[in-house]
Amino acid sequence: MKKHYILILFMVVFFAGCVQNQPVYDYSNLQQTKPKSILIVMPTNDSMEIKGSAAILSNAVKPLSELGYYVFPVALVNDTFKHNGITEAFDIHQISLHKLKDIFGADAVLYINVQEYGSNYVVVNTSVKISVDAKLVDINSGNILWQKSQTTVENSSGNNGDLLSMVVSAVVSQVLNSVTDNAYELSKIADAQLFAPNCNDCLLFGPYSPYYNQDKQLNLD
Amino acid sequence: MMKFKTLLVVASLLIFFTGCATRNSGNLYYWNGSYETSMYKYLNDDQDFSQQISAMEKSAQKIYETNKKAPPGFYAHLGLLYMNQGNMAQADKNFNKEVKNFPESQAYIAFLRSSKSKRKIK
Repeated sequence: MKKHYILILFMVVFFAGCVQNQPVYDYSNLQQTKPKSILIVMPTNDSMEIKGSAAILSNAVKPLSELGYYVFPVALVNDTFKHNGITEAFDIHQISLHKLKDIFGADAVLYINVQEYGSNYVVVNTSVKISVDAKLVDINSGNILWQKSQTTVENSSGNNGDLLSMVVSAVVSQVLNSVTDNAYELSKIADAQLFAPNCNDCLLFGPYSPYYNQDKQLNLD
Repeated sequence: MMKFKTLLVVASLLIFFTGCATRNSGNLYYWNGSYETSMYKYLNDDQDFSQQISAMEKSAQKIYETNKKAPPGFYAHLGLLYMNQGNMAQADKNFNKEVKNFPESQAYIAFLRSSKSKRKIK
């Protein structure tokens, strides 16, 4: 009987320690604002691949929608800026929140920056790397509701046991059409990871989701 | 008595798994790549609107047949494609569908239709 008590005590201490070690992400702004609709604008791009912005933008729609947010039609939105003479992502990011609210009526704006996108030629084996950071801003107050950085890598050689590599290999083996770039398939994974739910600094579920307010990281308290 | 219980369990399991099967693998919306690919192509100035419309209309048909939901922006994007072909009737129809499915889009769609925005056809 004593043995069981020691084991249980050990487990309690062990898991308590696990929970305490994790810094809790501050979701207060996000939980207070409760945005329902998100306006994603063209990402700025520090990488060598011009198509990186379009890839990250178009592949962000699915994970964010599945999280439970209304996502404005990104191509239509981009056209609206174009027709107003604003073609560069940098300039789009400078538009006042007040003006964006006037036109779109969104609850929040998502600004993404692509830091790295494409093949890494410096390393011996060719690897494809995507680094992005995202910032969700409340359209009314300008407060940052959520932000996150994410790096996703695909190695062409080795690492066959890695689940991510296996998934990526399967995805990459699909037929690519002439418009895609070499990191397009990886951008789907990058966006899926960036906007994944149920982790310490993950974006919370939106109002359309059946898991709204049931995020695992919120129930740790 | 035992036979009835077993039957009940089996029936419950059948209903449960049938429910699982009819969901789009647990997704809220129907996705088959046509929407995502079209957005990417459009943003890269791909002018083959016919092909993109065709692919998305196939998805729209599936959505209708299986009674699933079209994703946010799906109909609005399809409307955009029709606009680029000069087909205003179909564009309007799809913008209406977008607003009907997602009231959050109403302000923006109204803006597009207002005199404030002069849309140029490519």
